[in-house]
Amino acid sequence: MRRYVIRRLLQLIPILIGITLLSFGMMHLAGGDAVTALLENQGVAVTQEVIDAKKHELGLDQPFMVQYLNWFRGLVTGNMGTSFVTGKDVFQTFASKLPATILLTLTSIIATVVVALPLGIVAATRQNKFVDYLIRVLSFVGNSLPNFFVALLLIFVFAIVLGWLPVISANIGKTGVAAISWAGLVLPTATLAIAMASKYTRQIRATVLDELSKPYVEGARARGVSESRILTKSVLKSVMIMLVTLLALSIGDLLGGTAIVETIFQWDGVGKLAVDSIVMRDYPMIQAYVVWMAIIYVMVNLAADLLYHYLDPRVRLGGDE
Amino acid sequence: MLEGKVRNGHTQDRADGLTAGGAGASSSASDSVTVRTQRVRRNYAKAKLVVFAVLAAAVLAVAVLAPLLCGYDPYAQDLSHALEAPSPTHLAGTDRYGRDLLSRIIVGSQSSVLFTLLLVVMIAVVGTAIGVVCGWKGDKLDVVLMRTSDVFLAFPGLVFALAIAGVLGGGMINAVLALAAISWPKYARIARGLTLAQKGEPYLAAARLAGCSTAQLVFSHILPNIAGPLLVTAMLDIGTMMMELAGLSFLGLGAQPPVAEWGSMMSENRSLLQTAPWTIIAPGIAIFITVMVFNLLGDAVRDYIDPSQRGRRKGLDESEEV
Amino acid sequence: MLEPVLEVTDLTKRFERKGRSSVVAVDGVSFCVRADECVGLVGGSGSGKSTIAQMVTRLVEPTSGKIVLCGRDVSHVRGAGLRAMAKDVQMVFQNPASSFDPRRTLGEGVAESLRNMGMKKPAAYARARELMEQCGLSANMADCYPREVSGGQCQRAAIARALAPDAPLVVCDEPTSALDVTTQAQIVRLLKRIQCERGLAMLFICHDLALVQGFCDRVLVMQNGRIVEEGLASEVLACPSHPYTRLLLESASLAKKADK
Repeated sequence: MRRYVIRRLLQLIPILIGITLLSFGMMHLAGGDAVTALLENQGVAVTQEVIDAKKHELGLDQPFMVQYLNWFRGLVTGNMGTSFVTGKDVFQTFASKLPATILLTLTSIIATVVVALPLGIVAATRQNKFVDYLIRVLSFVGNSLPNFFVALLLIFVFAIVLGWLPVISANIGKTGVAAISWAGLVLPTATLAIAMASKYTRQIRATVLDELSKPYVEGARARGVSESRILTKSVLKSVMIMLVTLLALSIGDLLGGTAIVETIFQWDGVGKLAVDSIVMRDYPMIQAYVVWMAIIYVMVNLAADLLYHYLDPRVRLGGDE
Repeated sequence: MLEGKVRNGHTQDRADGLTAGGAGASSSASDSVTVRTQRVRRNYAKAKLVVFAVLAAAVLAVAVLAPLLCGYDPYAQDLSHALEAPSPTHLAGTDRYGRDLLSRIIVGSQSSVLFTLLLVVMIAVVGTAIGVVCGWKGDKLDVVLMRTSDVFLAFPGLVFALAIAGVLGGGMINAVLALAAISWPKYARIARGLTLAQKGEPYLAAARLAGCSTAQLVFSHILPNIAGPLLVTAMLDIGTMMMELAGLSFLGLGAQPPVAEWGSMMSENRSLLQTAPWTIIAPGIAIFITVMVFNLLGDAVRDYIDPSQRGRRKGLDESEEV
Repeated sequence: MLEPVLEVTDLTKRFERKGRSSVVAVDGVSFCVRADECVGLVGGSGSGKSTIAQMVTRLVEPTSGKIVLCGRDVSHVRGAGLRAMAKDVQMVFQNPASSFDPRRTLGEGVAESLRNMGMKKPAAYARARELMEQCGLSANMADCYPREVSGGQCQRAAIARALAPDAPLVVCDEPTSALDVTTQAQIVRLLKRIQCERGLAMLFICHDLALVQGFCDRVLVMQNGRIVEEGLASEVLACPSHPYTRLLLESASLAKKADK
């Protein structure tokens, strides 16, 4: 088991190299634009000399592989460089924005499961009754609304028309952890939860229906086992497995910081950081983001596989390798 | 003596043939009730498919014929009529430049709908091709391509999309390319799995013995047999991809102003949420309706092609529609 | 004495397995099959008989040894040479329904080899119908799909398919194992008739010695990848010399007694 975990963690290395090389290469292709944009942002007059000087300062005039290896060496020693835009340490900046994203991830997941699990089960147990139809219609509608539309609609209704919640979810003027505003947490969470819950509800309903149609359930019913006991003892297990699958997919996206939601609500997490960095061509920051995504990808997949194995020991570790 | 035997065997099988052939899709010991319900359900699934296909075709027609359907010129500015609420003259109102919103929405369907379809076709074709090659050849090529797809899966789509925009410039084509680059692995995996499943089937060996070349095996035998699930996946993806494309436009990629596109329209009017909400809500509703139509179509296709995908109990229940 | 249609010399197949020792499925097997001769290849599971069938039809490449088919050495042939084998050897598979493409009709399946050899569609399908009728099916079954017909009918179609290219050698890999007992007898009778009428060389593979009786001229008994006994069917079945043959014979007669 431990060997399996270690083997999976080691996979992080080729993936890491792969995607950082890829993103480094793409940034490199966009080359000069970065420096020009940077200088213009700083209000510096842009001449060729100034550009060349800045390039030299940032080490951008060296050959591609040299730059990459330098960066990689830095990564291994824990130094991810300094931001092109703010000049601050990349790692610290990045780390300071993580809590906001993690918080939003947690609240969204909890909200989603709290909503989707009961709804999915109810829809399945009351199949084809009005409640089922209602739930299915709602989840279908939820699946067809883009998240930025939901976000704007929620702002419109709750912040503008009703005035219950703030339009901008961050404490103005602060960054990082201090920017987390609890009242402001509601709308972004709701936006994310609506999208995810719509998807989850359908899947959970399908899973429960599938389980309930299996022969062993008929057998249990015939033996006089109560419906709720059937649900909690046997059906729940397969629902859990489905849930793990869905969560594995969602958490990856959420921890990457849903760029759109964070941007709309000005939620100071890594998603918003990513968008801003890309717009400003802040290479070191972008690289940090890419590294973070690689880590999440490997970790989440590993956690999901381990959970599968725990929930259903028949599932062998290292399935299709 | 021999002929007598032959004749007997012949007649016997003819009788068998009549019974087996006549009962249609049911297996032996068919319960006629089950056959009837199966057929009813199949007809219902077909009807649904037709209805939603027509709806989707209507949307497609709007997208293709858009310039002809606009009441106003979508790019004509008329500042004296800026930010008017919906009225009989401007059914969806006007934006900050006085442009008729409804016309812009109609024209916007070209970007949203047509490019989405282009995107889905691209990833389905490329992903399937790669997946089939991996599944068929196996070996090192398989490992290399699957690891590559891992890299693309781990890669944050947003970064990729914006980086492509940075390198190649904005525009819908580049947004499509960016999304295609990170979405093909799903199809590759599905196609690969399906191909592997087919590889072990005897009918491929029989086809080989009939003198089929590898190309014939892949194109005439494997592809038709794996097309179903792939088609369903593609149809179900149309709605998702449409929203992703709109999302990229919302963030500033994709369509560049003054090109009308639903996502970018919502983004450029974001600050008007309080004063002129229709400038945001109207394009939003357009996205919603279009995605809904294609989602309905995708569900209908899935129910028609592979009814076992629905969640059902006791075999007499409705499909997972809506 | 005619040249044998199929001559196999010292055929060996070794399967490599990742991380484990390799498996020798077939170990130095030699035999031949002549025209108008039906040779039975009998053995339990794991004896290697199916692997021999796959090598003779070149669905699998031998590790070593020689396969000479109609005077041609096909042991390691590839590409076009492999495709050309279609006119020399055909096979009837164990599972009738899954040996046909589920998305094609039986008629299309039977006509496939003819189309590959250049015959036009109408002629190929006409010939396919003809063959299917000769195998005891009605012509309209050519428009049926594999899932719509019974196992026995499917197998008849498979035999028709095997006859289409007029190949001198037909390999039957346990053609009756997936069928019920009455259908088994019908199919065996059909095969025997076909083989006699056309003077085919036939390699009949099965695990049941009793089936071989009255059908095959010669019989080869395999165990663990090797031929342990061979000879005329009547002789081997009457007086088996190898203990494994005796074992197989006993199991067959026990099964027969149980049936009664």
